[in-house]
Amino acid sequence: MGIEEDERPNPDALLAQVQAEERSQERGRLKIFFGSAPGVGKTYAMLRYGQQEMAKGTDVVVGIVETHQRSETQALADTLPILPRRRIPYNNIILEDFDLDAALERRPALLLVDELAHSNAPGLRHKKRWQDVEELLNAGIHVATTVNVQHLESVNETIRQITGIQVRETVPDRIIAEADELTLVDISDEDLLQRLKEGKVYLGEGGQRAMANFFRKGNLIALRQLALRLAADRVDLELRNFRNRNPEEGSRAGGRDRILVAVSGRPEDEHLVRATYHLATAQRVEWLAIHVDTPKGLLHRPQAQAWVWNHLHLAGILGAETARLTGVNVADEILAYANLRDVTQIIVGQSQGLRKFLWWWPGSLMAKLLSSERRMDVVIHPLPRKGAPSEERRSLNRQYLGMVDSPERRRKRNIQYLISAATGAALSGLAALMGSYHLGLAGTFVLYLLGAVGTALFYGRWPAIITLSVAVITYYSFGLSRNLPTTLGSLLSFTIILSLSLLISQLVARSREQEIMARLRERRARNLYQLVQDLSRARKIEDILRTSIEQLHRTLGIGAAFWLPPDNAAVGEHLHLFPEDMELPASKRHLFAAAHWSYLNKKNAGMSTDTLPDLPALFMPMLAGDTPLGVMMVTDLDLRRAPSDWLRFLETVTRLVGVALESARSFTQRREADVRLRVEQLQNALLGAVSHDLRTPLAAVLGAATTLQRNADNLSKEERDSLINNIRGQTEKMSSTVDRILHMAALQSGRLELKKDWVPLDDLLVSARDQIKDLCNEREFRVRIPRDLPLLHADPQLIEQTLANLMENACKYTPAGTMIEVEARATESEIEICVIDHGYGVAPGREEEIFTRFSQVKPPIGESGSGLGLAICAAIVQLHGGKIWVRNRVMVRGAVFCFTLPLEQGPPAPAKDE
Amino acid sequence: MESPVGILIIEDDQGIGNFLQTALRHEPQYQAQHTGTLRDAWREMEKRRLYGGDPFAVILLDLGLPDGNGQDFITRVRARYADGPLIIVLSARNNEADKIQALDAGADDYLAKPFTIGELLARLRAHLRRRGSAEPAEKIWRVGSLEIDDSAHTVKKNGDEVALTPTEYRLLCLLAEHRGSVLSHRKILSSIWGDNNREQAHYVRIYVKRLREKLEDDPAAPEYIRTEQGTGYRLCSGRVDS
Repeated sequence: MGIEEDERPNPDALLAQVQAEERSQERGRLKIFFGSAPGVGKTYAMLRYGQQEMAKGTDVVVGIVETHQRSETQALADTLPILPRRRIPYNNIILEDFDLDAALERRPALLLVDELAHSNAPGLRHKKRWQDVEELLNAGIHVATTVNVQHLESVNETIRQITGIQVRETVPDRIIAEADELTLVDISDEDLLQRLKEGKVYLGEGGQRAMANFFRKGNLIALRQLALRLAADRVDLELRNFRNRNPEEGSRAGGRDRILVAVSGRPEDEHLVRATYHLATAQRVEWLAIHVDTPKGLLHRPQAQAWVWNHLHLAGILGAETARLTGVNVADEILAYANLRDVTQIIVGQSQGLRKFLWWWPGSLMAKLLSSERRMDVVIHPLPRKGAPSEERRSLNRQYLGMVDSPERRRKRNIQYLISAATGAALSGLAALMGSYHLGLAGTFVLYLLGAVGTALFYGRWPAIITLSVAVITYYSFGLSRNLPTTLGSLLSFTIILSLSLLISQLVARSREQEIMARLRERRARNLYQLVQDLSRARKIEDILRTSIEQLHRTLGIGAAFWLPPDNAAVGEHLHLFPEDMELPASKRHLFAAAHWSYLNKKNAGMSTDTLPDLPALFMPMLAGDTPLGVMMVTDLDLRRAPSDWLRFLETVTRLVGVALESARSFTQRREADVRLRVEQLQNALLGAVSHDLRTPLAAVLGAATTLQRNADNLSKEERDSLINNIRGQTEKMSSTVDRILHMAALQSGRLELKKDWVPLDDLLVSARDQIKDLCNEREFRVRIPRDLPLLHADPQLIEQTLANLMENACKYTPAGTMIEVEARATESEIEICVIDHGYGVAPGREEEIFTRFSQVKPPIGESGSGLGLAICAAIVQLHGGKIWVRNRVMVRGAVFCFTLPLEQGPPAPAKDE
Repeated sequence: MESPVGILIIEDDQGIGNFLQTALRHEPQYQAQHTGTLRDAWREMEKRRLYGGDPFAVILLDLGLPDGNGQDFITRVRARYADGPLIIVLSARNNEADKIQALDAGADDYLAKPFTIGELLARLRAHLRRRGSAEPAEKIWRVGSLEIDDSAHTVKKNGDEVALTPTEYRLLCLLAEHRGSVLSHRKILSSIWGDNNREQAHYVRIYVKRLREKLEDDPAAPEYIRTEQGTGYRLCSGRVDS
C-alpha cells in the first residue's frame, strides 16, 4: 500500500474522526494508566493525578481503589473523597464492590476506578468493571483507571505462551484504543523485582507461588516489551490521527485492504481470530470474520454452533465485522462473500486429521480457495493441537447457549442407525430369497444400491454406509451357506458397487441437505415477509406488538414481550411491559432494570450479552434513527430451533418493529393533528352558527316580549296570542338548534364514546318517531322490517337520532301528505336501513356534499335551518363503522337515504320461557 | 274539591322556579312552594312532618343543585317517608346517566328541560290519578283497552284474551303496576331477570318488542308501551298524555 500515493485523506477515516470527536463531546474522557505488571505503581500514579486535578478545583471522587494496605498508596487515597462500596450478599458472605449506581448519582467530574479488568461480584449489573466504566463514560463522567498489559484481550494468548498462565480477566482492546489518554507507568525490571522483594507488591491471597512464577525476570522483560510496544502503537495511532486532521503535513497510511477470516465450530479457531486481529492491527486494515453454516453443521453439531457464536463474538469485540452465511459449499460462500466485500486476504485454519494431508484434493476447501479466479492471498494458519479453551469455559459456554446435545436427539440417531442396519440385513435376506429365482449378481447389486440410496435419502450418509456394510457382510455369511456367487470376481464387483453406492448416497445426501437448507432459508424469508406484511397492515401500536409476538413465537418458538415508554414521554424514566399479563421468567424488577439499561444505552442486554447476562431473557432496543422507541424482550430462547443467524434475525425483527412503531406513532400524531384541525374548524363553524341561528330567533323573542310589556293593555287578544306563539315557536327552534350544535360538537370532537348495546330496530324507530311527532303528525309512515332482523349492536340514542334526523328531513323537504317509508334488511355482513320519501329527490351531483356541509367553514346552518342534521347522521354512522348515502329513486320521484351498520355476532339471549 | 295538593319545587334557577310557581298558582288544585337548595327543601319537609302539616304530595326536583346531589336526596326521602311523595326529576337534556340514576334511586318520572307547562301538568294529572285510585283487592289493571287481571293471570285486549309467556306477563304487570312512570332498564332487569342480569338491557328490548307485537294495533307506532330512549319504558293509557 503506497503510503504517499494519495494525498487526500480517506473519507471513511475522516468520518470516523468526526464521529469520535462528536462522541467525545458528550462522552466522558477516559484516561488509562497502563503498566506491564502488578506493582509498577499504576494506582499510585492514578491517585497522584487525581490529587493534582483536585488541586485545580475539579470534583474528584475515588470510585474504588485497592490499596492492599500499601501505606504510601493508602495515605494518598485518604486525601481524596471515596465513594462507599456496595455490599452484595452472596452465599452467606458479603462481597464488596464498586457501586456504579452511586457513582452515576454522585456525578463527579472525575472518577478514579482502579483495576479496569476486574470481574464484578455476581449479581451486579455488568459482568466486568470495564462495562461499568463504559456506562460512566456514556453518562458523561470522566474516568481515570488502571490496567496491566496482560489483561488485554488480544494478547491473552501471547501472555499464556510467555508465562504459561491463562489470564481470565480480560478487557477488549477497543476500550484501550478508544481511551482518550494512555499513560504508560513504567519501571525497570530490576526495580520491580526489588519492590517485590521488599514486599511492596500485592500478589493476591494465596497466589504467592503462582505469581512468583509470573515474576521471573524473563517474563517481566517480555511483558514490559509488550506494554511498550502497545504504547508505541498507540502513539503511532495518535500521529496518524493528527495527520488525518492535517493532511498537508504528511501522508496517510492504510489502503483498501481487507482481511477475512473464516472460522468453524472448532474450539481452536479462537486462535485464528486472535491471530487475524494482530495481523489486521499490524497492517492497519479492516477485517471480517465469517462463518458458513452448512446443513450438516446445523443439523448434527449443535455444540459447534456455540463455538461459532463464541468466535464471532470475540471477533466482534476485537473490532471485526462479523457475518454468518448459509450455504452448502463452504468455499463457494467464502469466495462469494470475499468478492462482495473486496477482501484481499483470506485466512483459514489448517484442517485437522486426515484432511490435513488432502488439502490438494480438488474438492477440498483449500484447493477451492487457492484455485479461485480472483487474486486473493490465502493464508493457511496452523492451529495448536491443544490450545482449546479450558473445559470449564467450554461447559460454561454450552450452558450459556443452552446447547447440549439432547439425549432425545441421540436416541433418535441411534434408532436411525439400527433401522439402517436392519435394512441391510433385510436386503440380503431378500437377495437370498430372490437368489432362487436366479436374480444373479447384477440383480443383487442393483438391489443393494437401491437400499443404500434409499437410506441415504431418508437418513443421510452414514446410515447409508451402515446399510451397505451390513448388507455385504450378511451377503457373504449367507452366501457361503446358500448358492450365491461368492467368487473373487464378486468381491471385486462388491468393491465397485460399494464405491458406487457411496458416491450416489453422497450425492443424494448432499441434495437432501441442499433441500433442507433451501427450506430453512425459504421459511425464514417467508416468515420475515409475513411479518412485514402483518406489520404494514397493523395501524395500532398494540396490533404491531401482538403481531410481532405471534410471529416470533411461530417462527422461532420463543416468547417475546416489549417494554415501552408511556405515551408522550420523551425519554422514559419508566417503561411498562406489554403484554402486562405475561409470565415473567424472572423478577419484574430485574427485567425492568435490564430493559431500562438497554433503552437508555441503545444496546442489547441480558442473556448472552455482557450486561446482566444472568437474566433468562435477551433485551434488544428498538430504534428509530437514534431515538429508542422501546425494548424487545426475548424469552424461552432455544437456539437449537433457530440456530443459524438467530441474533441477526431477531435484530431484523426489532428493526422492522421499530419502523412499524415509528410509522404508527406518526400516524397517531397525524390523526391527532387532524382532530385538532377539525375541532378548530368546528369552533369556527359553531361561532358562525351561534351568531346567525341563535341571534335571529333571540331578536324575535326579545321583540315580542318587549312589545307585550309596553303595550300590555292596548293589544287585542289575537295580537297577544300571536306574539306569544311567536315567542314559543322561536324558543323551540332555538332549543333544537342548541341541541344539535352540542350533539355535533360531541360527535366531531372525537371524544364521544359509543355506548353500544343490543337493540331491536323497531324500538329505535318507535322512539325516533316520538321525537318528530310534532313535525310529522300528518304523515303516513310505512315500516317494513323483517321479523327476524338481527339486533343492532349500536348506541341506541345515536341511532335513534340518526333515524329521527332522516325522517325529519323527509318530512321537511317533501310535499305535505306524501308517504314516508322505512325499510330494513340484513345482508351477510351488515344491516341496511333506508328512509324513502316521495319528494323531489336530491340535486344530481350533490349526493355527497349534503352530508359534508358542516366540514366546510361557511356557516353550517343555512337559512333553512338545516345542514347539521345530515352531518350528524354521517358522523354517527361513521363512528359505528357503517356507511351512509343517498340516491334518487329510479322511475319515480323521491330520494332514498340509506345507512348500514356492521352485522355482529348476536348477544347472549334471555332464557326462553315458552 | 278537597284540600289542594302540596307541591315542593326544588330548583336553583330563579327563572324556572318563578315560571313553575306562577303556572301552578293558576291551577287551584295545587299549592306550590319553591326552594333553591336541598337543605331548605329538607327543612320544609321536616317542618310539615313534625308540626303535623299536610306532607308534600309531589316534589319537582332539579338534579344540579348547589348544595348536593339530587340522587342522594331522593334516596334520603325514600328512606324517611314510607308512603312518600311523588318525585319528578327535572333534568337537563343529554344527561341520561343522571336520569337513570335518579330513577333507580326512586324517582317516579322525569322531564327533560326545556319542557312546556302543558307537559308538566299532564304528567302530574296522570300520576295523581293513579295514586288516587286505590288499588282494588282483586288487582285488575285497566289501561286503555287493555285489561290485566292479576288474580286470574289473564290479559285481555278489547275483551279478547291475549296469550303471553310468563316473562312477558311479568313484564307487563311490572309496567302496569307503575303505569305512567318511567321504569329504567336496570329496574326492569333486576325485577324480572334478577340482579345478575342488570347489564343485559337488550333482554328488556326484545321482550318489549314481543309485547308490542301482541298488544299494539300498530307495533311500529305503539299506543301503550312507550320508549324513553336511553332510559327505559313507560306504560301509557293511550295517546292522551303530553
